[in-house]
Amino acid sequence: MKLIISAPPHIKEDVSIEKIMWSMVIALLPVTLMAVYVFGLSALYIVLVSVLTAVLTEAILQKMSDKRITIQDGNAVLIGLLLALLFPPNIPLWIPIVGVMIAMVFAKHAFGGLGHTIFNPPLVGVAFLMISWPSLMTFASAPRFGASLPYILEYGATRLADVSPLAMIGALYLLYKRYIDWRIPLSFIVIVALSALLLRIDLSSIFTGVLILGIFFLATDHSTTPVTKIGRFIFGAGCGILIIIYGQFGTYFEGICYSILLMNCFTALIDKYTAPNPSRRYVSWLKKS
Amino acid sequence: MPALLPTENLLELLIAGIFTKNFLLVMFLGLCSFLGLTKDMSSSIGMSMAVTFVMGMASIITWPIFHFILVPFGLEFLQTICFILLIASFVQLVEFIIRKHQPALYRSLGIYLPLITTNCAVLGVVLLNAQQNYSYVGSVVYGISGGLGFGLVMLLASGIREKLLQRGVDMFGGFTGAFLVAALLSLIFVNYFGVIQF
Repeated sequence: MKLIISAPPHIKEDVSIEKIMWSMVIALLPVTLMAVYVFGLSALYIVLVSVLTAVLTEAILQKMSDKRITIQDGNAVLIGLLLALLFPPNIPLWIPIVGVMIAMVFAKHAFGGLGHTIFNPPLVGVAFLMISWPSLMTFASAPRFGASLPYILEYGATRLADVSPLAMIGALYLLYKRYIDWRIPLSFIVIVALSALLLRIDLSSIFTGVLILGIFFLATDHSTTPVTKIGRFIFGAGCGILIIIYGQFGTYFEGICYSILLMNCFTALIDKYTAPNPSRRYVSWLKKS
Repeated sequence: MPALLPTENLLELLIAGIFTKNFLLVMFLGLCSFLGLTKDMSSSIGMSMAVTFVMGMASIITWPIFHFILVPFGLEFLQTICFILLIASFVQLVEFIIRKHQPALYRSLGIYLPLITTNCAVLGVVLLNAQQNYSYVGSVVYGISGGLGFGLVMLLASGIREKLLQRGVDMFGGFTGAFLVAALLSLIFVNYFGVIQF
């Protein structure tokens, strides 16, 4: 038998930040290609500009603050790609640049970079743009594919990610490899579907590509969600309830973005109040015996 | 003169005070105590309890003074100085009573009770009550809900700042970081609750 002697940590599993981030980018490639196919070259330009701005901003910020440059770990590419998928296809190209820079500077690096974020960086960028240039962030004319296949090919798509919920199939691979947690998507989907059925809301108006993107890629961001298992169920359920409440007054697209951000604010509290306390059980056991 | 009994929708006032017109994040009142007391959760809970109490009581005592004395004699221009005097003397009185009869509560509130006398959120809620012509019950409900909204945001921000301290992030430590957290929280609150209307 061969003995391997090495210093800790003894990691057997072949998991790293790079692997998780690049798998998420690859899982998003089908929907990106689909968006380029549906919306034409303008979608491609938006994606390229967002990703390039994200990578450049990260490199410049880390160079300025004398840190190791970590653009190869894929997080900057992922943030740029996620933000690009939340844009309408006909925006001027300076909008992605501003949004991505806000996301990278104020949501990611101001809080300490990868793993320290409190608010989801792509969504902070979207929220900033929606409040600053709301007229540019809405899209009036949408391509239609006919109403026969509403769930497969989104009709009336208004965002790059809206092209088809089926193009998010890569998320299943991420769930299978446990790169994203299954508890948040499960409680999220169950709450949204249940309340849509109870309130008699048309399911095709809620279950758009953006919602699927939000459930599997935005709400499951590792550092902005609770670490406890019960906390993750609460997080997903809270997102679902907040989306339905917002949808009664506004559009579901904005509801998806803001409800995930609002639950990010509650993450610290959820973590604090659902933290397991083994000593309490031990003390009660001591008192009994 | 507005009526004693509520003429406006009380639930609407409650939601306005806690969420849609939050004193801290939407109207930017009381930011000094927000920055000073969100470093740890226990002091933020104490401060928000004290603020809720004083906001409710201030609404109770200023409404009769405004509508029975200031308005009949045409002295509305004195409302600011009159309200400040009322709130300050009332808080002093409450401090005496609590110190004598509830020493435990006095110790847990500690320094926060005297600090509240100059809190702009408390003055803001009574001035808004006078400006909006709320009924007596309505103004009390608005005062208490404003305090609850204040407490909710204090709790959220103290949770986030505790988490930042645990992670040992120095890049924007101290007040800069607190302002950044306040700005992002405010962005989210204005975006989410701005659309909700009745």
